[in-house]
Amino acid sequence: MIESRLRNTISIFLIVSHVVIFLLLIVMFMLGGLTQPEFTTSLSVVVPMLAALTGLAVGYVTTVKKKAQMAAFSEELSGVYVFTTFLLPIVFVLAIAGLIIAKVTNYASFEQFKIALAAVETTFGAYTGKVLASLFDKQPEAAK
Amino acid sequence: MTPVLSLCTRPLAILLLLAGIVTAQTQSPAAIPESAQSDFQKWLREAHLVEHLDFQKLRRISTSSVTKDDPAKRSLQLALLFLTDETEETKAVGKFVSLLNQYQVTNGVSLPETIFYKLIQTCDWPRADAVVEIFVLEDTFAVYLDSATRQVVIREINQRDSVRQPITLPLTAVTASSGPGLAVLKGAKPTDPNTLARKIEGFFENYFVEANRKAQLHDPQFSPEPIEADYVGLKVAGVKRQVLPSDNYWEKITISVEIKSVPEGQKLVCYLSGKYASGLFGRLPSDNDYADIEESKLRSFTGTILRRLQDYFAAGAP
Repeated sequence: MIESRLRNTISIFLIVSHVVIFLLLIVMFMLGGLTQPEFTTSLSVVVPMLAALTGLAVGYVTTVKKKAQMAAFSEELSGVYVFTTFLLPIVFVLAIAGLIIAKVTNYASFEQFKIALAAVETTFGAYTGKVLASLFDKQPEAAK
Repeated sequence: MTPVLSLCTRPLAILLLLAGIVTAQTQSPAAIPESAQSDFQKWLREAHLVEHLDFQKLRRISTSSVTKDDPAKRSLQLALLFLTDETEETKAVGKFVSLLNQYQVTNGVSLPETIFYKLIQTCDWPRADAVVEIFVLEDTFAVYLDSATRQVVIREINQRDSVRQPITLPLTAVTASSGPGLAVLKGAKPTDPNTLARKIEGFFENYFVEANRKAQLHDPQFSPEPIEADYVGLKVAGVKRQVLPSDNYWEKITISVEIKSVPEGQKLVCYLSGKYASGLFGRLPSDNDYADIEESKLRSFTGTILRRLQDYFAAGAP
């Protein structure tokens, strides 16, 4: 896979995930899966976690307005790099969504939910951040 | 083989015997729930009682069942201090009595009973083993279930932890015949003393079962207290939209109904407390996830359910 395609795919995935998780929390609150204090606490924990990663993607998207800028990243990437870059954000987002579902269906208490979120952030957040930083670090101006 | 078996079984038998003795002596829960103190203080604030009553302590003491007739020996003890600027005992007691009367006139129920039932509901404690002590300067008033009359009474006790003599407080009689927590059932007293209590318990169970069936939910979980002729205690879990009709939250409701004889028939005084927690589908939340339901919403629900109960008895309680 070439770098520009990986960047685009991961950017879209992160932005969509961020919106979906945000909407998931709102919908669950409206259906009675979360009380008001639980909803506000969940938002304040989950949204900053995702925003840090989505910020990298949005930063990249805003710098590649033109197709020519995107074409600058046409190098073929190693399989292991592509695999890791896909795996970590997907697991991270799925873990957050899974925890929200577990909480609203009462498979986890709110305390367990908060502790598990912190664990997920510690386990995957740091690795995911590192991988995405390596992917989005290069600016298109430098490649011109 | 026999001596070996005998050696093994003897300690086991002693352990079982000891366990049996311990179980027989400790009918009350082992500990007060962690959140009970803060929950009770929160309720005092919400009920605007903190201006008059200061929370002192809530404790569990170990007592033997032999001394349970003495209110000071009951295992769950709540201590409250009556706040007054009076320095003279008689005047302070007078002010305390005025507060009790004012509460009864305003709310239609007795303040000592309200505090007592709030305590046993918050701590999930048997009512025969709890006492509320209210300090009025040097005097102490105990609110407890009198084992002889089977009524919650308020009596002055002395400082040496023994009952001195009961004094009758000049309390105003209830003026409202039917308030949010009161219902009068007309008619003669049934011959079996437990019949009315059983019917009331049955009514509540049917009420919640039907409500859940209409909402296509599983049947609720009931934890009834042992039937008494003049008391019905019931905990209901796994219901939705009863006290909070606009929210899809799980509700846990604790109902205590005192049955009192009045000239018109039987007067029911209902004390309700409720908690709510979030959750979709059929799995119930863990106990720690529940939060208290506001007093105003509980009052409204109490009024509704008691009206339904009156209608049920008016229709002959089939």
